[in-house]
Formats: sequence, C-alpha cells, structure tokens
Amino acid sequence: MPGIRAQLLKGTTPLLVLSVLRDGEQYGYEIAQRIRERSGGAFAPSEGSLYPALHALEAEGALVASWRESDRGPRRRYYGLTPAGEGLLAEHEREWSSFSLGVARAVGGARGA
Amino acid sequence: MRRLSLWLVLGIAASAGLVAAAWLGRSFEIPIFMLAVLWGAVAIDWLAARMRGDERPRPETPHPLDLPPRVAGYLETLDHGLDLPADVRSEIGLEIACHLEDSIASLEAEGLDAERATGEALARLGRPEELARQLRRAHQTTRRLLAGAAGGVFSAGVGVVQGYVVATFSAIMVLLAAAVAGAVAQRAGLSISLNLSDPGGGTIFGCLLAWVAAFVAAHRAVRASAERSRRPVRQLGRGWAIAGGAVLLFLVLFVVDMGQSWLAVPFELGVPLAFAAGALVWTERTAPRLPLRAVIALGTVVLIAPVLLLAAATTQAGGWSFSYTEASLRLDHVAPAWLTSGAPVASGSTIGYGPTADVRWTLQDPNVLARFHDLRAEVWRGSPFPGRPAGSSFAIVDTSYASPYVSYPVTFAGDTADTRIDVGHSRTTSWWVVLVGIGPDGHRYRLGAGDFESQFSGTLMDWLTASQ
Repeated sequence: MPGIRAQLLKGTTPLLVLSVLRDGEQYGYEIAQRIRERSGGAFAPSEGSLYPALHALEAEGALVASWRESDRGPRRRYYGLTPAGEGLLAEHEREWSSFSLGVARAVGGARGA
Repeated sequence: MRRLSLWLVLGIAASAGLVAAAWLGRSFEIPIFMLAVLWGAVAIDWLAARMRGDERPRPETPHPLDLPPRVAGYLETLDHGLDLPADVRSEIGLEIACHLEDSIASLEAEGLDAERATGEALARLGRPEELARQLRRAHQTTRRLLAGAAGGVFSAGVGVVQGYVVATFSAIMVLLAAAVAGAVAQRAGLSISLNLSDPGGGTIFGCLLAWVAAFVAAHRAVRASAERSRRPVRQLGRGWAIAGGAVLLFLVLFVVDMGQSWLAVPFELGVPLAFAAGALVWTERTAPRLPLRAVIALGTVVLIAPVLLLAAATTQAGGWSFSYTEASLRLDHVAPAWLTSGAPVASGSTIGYGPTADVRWTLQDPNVLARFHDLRAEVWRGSPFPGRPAGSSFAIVDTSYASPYVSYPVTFAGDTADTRIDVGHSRTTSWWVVLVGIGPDGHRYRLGAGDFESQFSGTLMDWLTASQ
C-alpha cells in the first residue's frame, strides 16, 4: 500500500534525515541512499520531500550547509548537524519512541480484543 | 573590507588637506562639515554592509553539467515556481541539478538506458511545481519575514543618511556650476537675472534632498528585507511602497512643521511618491558602486575646487528701485490719514518674521493722541505692488477686504506705542499694520502704518486648510 506508506513517511522525514547526518556530513543524494540502505530497502522517502525537509531544517538552524568537493569528485552541497540539530534529533527520537510504542500497544490491544 | 579601505583612503586624504589648510592659516568650514558627513556615511555604510552579510559566499558552478533537455526543462519549471531571490533560486537549481546527475548515473549503472534513467530520476523527484511550492514554503518562514522587516527598517535608516549625503553633494555641485557660470557670464559682459525666491523656498530645497533620501531608503529597505525574508523584491516592493508612502504622507500632511507656500505643496507631496518609486523601480539591481578613481575625483572636486573657483569668481549684488506715492499704497482704504505738520503722527517698525511680530510706533507728538480714543492696531492684508520687481516683498493694502484681518490693543509708554500681532495660520504673507483711532470729530483716522512680511509655518494640512 504505497499511499499509506507515503503518508507515514512524510511525517518522519526530518527524523530520518537528522539520524543519518549523525554519522557525519553528507549531501542530498547521499542522504537518500543512506536512508534506503539503513531501512534494508523497506522504504525510501520521496526525493521530492527530502530537499524541502533539508532546507526547512537549515532554516531552523538544525543543519548547516556548505558547498565542497564530494567523494565522487564534483562539488556538492553538504549538510551537517549543528548543536541545535543534535538537540532536535534527540527530541524527535523521544517523540518517535513514545508514539510508536503507543501505536503498537493500541494496535496490539485491538487485535487482542 | 575593500570598500571600507577605499573610503578610508579618501577620508585620510581629506584630513591631510584640512591639516595643510590649517597650517596655512586658512579656515575651511565647508570642508570640515563635509568631512564629518563623509565619515558618518562611511561608518553607517560599513555597519549596514556587515548587517546585510555582503560577504556571504556564493557557490561556484561545480562543473559544466551536461544535462538532458528533459532535465533542463524540469529545472526551468522549478525555477519559475520558486519565487525566491535570484541567488537562492540559483543555489537550489544547482543542488537539484547535481542530485539528478547522481540519480541518473546511478540508474544507468543499474542497467537502465539513458532515456529511462532520466524519466525515473525525474519521477522520483515529483512534479517540479510541487517541489517548488514545498521549497518556497521551507524558505519563506515567518521568522525570516520578521527578520526581513527589521532589516528593512534599519536599511531604510541607512539609506536616508546616504541619500541625504548624495543629494547634498549633488546640490553643492549644481550651485558651484551656477556660480562658475555666473562668473563666466559676468566676465563676458552678460547680465543674468534669476529670482528663485518663494516663502517656501527652504521647504522646497529640503524636499528635493528628501526625494533622493526617500528613494535610496526605499531601495535599500526592499533589497534588505527581500534578502532576509527570502521573498522576491517585486512582491515586497509593493508592500513597502504602500506602507512607506502612507507613513511619509501622514508625516508630511500632519506632523512636519515647515515654511509653506503653494509652490512647496507638490514638492512635499513628492516625498512619499519618491519613496514609492524607490520601492518599485530598479529594485532588482544593486546600488551602483563607484570605482576608486571616481570617488577620489569626486571628493577632490567637492572639497577643494569650490575654494579655488569661488575665489576666482566675483559676484555683484544687484538691487532694484522704483518710485511710489502714498496714495498708491491704498492706505486710504483703511482710513484717511491724520497728519501733523504734513507727516504721520506715528512711524512704525516691526520685529519678527513668523506669524507673530512686535510692532512699535514712535510718536511725533504724543500729545496729539490725547485727542483720540479707541486707539488700536489693525492688521490688513496686503497684495503685490503693481509692477513690482520679482522677488520684492513690497505690497499695497488689499482693497478686496472691507475690514481688517485682526485688531489688537496698543500700549503707550512715553513717545512709543507697542503691540504684538499674530496673523495665525493665514496664507497671506504681506500685511499692513495700521494705527487707527477715533478723532475729535468722531471720524476714524489713520495715524501711522508699517508693512510686515510673515512666513507661514505649519504642516501641509495646516496650509491646505488655512484661511486666505
């Protein structure tokens, strides 16, 4: 059900982006590839929502961006976490843990009923 | 820093000139004033540049991107939909182009042909219109809008100072050119007569400076707020034109108090119009930057050349003269004269140039007044003397009015009579102050008279609603 998954992914894109950038600075295409790999190919955020999320996080001060040489050679725009971004990531992780646990209990509880 | 160093060079050169002038025993008040204004503009301009972030790095083109036509079309559609400042659009376009290049290369490495890889890469990004909408929303945040408003207000203040500096320099150059032209014409034997007097002359000159200041202020405000808020200049320009124009119109109509005349009215109304023009015209362009040689040449001409040229030029103050009779003043319209030994009983003088003035009459024979009662000072409107030279303030009694504008009691002390008059907010600027009284035969007589020139001072709305 791609439609349902797309709706679920839409709200978690900032969390996915921030968690990938915890490993170090990366550029947009690299971030998308890394999310796909870490999910085991289960999902990949829409690339159309990736860049708006990156720019929004940069506008909030959670990310800092700079143009420099990539590992492939050509210059790319690299994003990195700021201290505010690290705090935002921790907050997102707490919210996601609480949310996902609540959903699992609700679904599990309904199934059990 | 390069721009600051250019101004520093000019400032140091001007300072050295001042020191030399002082050592030679010459005084240079104008260069001192110009130097103070110059340094003030330097400091504010440098501070504004720092606040604007003029040093923000711009991305270099990574390498010539060899993009398929479909990709170029996608990027063009994206660019049209972004509605962001040009440098931000350029940066986003470059980032998306680089992403598509990586995506297509990756898909081709997986075995897709170029055409299918391009289609798949574009499909993964989604519609360019939707991507542009989301990117625009990500950049045009409320926080940036508020920052843009604050930055715009500050830049407008800087622009006011810069505009006044530019306008003052320009006015000095115009006056200098006029003085040189006059000197040359005089040496050539030509006579030039030019009268620019008007009761609102000072206001007109101030408004001309304000036009330039308002235009520069609006231009800087729009560009600064667009850069900070990430909104297009044309969109913000409309808002600034309306808001700034309304504020200035309010100030001009109801707040700013200055000398008024009908000629000054369009110049005053031109100030909010100049601001609106600055917010709407040429806002896509940055303010012009003068090269170093032009700055040094301009500074040298403004600071040094006037002294040399004016010392060489000569001026001649011309006057005008014409004859008149007592009857031509139409003072008989007020009351017939009571003469003692063929002369008026009192001769008057006024002190003041505003709506108020102190009037003193010197009495030829104070005992004459003992025969009069109901003595008072009547203020009558004046009208231009028929055929008087332009610029002359001499006036006659305006006979279209059957009664005085206002009357005041008179205080007598020895051989003087005093009163204080206030013509209030009237557009009339020429007056006759007449000492009148009821004589021993029961008729009203004129005992003395003096003319008085007033200047209307008030807001523009005061002028428009004033009585004649």
